[in-house]
Amino acid sequence: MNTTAPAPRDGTLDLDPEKVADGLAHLVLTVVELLRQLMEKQAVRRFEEGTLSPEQEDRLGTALMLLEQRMDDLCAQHGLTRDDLNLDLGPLGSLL
Amino acid sequence: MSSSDTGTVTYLFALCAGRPPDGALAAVAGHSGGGPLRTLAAGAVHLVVQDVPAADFGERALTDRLNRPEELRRCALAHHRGVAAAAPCGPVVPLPMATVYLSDGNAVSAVASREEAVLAVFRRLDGRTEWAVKVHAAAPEAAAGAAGSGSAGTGGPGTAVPGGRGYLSRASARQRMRRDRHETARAVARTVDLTLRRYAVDATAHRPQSEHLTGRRAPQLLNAAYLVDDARRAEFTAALDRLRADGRLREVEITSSGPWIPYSFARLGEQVPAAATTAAAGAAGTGAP
Repeated sequence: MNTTAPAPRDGTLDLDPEKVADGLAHLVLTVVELLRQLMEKQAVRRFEEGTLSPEQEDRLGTALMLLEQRMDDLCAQHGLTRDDLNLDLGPLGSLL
Repeated sequence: MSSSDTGTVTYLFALCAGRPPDGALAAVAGHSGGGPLRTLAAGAVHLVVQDVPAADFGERALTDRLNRPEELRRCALAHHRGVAAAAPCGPVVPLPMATVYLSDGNAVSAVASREEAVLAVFRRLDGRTEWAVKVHAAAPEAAAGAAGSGSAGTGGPGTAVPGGRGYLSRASARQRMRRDRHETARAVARTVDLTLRRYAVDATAHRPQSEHLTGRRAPQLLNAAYLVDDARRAEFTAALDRLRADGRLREVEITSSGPWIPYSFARLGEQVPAAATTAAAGAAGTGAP
């Protein structure tokens, strides 16, 4: 053995202090993106069912649109792309 | 000779029906730090083994090493070299990587106690090879999907309805399109699988590999292995070529490799009647996403 400590397994948490902040932002944005997509799915379902009034549709759509733009801004701030926001859940596939 | 006083253990690569010549084995580099490859006999079964340092192959050391991708790769390559060395001498049963016994005697008696099962697997694999086939959604799908989600928020060309309602209807169309594409691709993957099964003795569906592992942007729809009779190999590969050339299957990309030593079909201790094997394989195939 010429290494002093076992190298972290690929995909495990890297607790290097400089990387922790980046990693945390990444994780938080991934969770926010998951929630955003769930909300969008739900909104689209209601929209397709036709159970929303035109005003409700407009308000909901505008909110989702703004949220999407905000996500783009946040990703850009942290040097991430939308494709980076994902987690490999192994046997369950990917999160998003 | 493996024993605790020399600090080595017996690493078992494979079982084979014919005895590989010593010269051929000696030329193969096994695990680093180990001795030359050699054979042991247990009844009619030959074992390809190597003395390896006990310190590197203890339970703790192994777990630690196999958790490191680079070590794992080296270990897997060494294992495959040992298995491949046995392959020219008739059917081979590769052992799972890191099969280690404390001594030669332990290895021999473990194999001897299951001689019948081993011989049955030899008979099943004789004159057959494994072919791996993977089906991915075609790359343009990923590109189109990414472009679609990017442009939705900013509003498309002049035709789109402006405002919140427009956004919702675009999101709805996007979701429907993605769903349809997904379903088509899955149906195509099923067609590929069913077609190839016709030319195979047995088939097994592995869990699709993650995009992280395949390095592709497109999801893997099928990760299957087929056990093909040498006599039908030409038919099998011709069927693969036809599938690749089929215009209706443009939604997917089919990659294949082979012939391989039948790793996926050489499991010991799962000896079930032939009919049951086929049924189980069928169920695994339809159950796989």
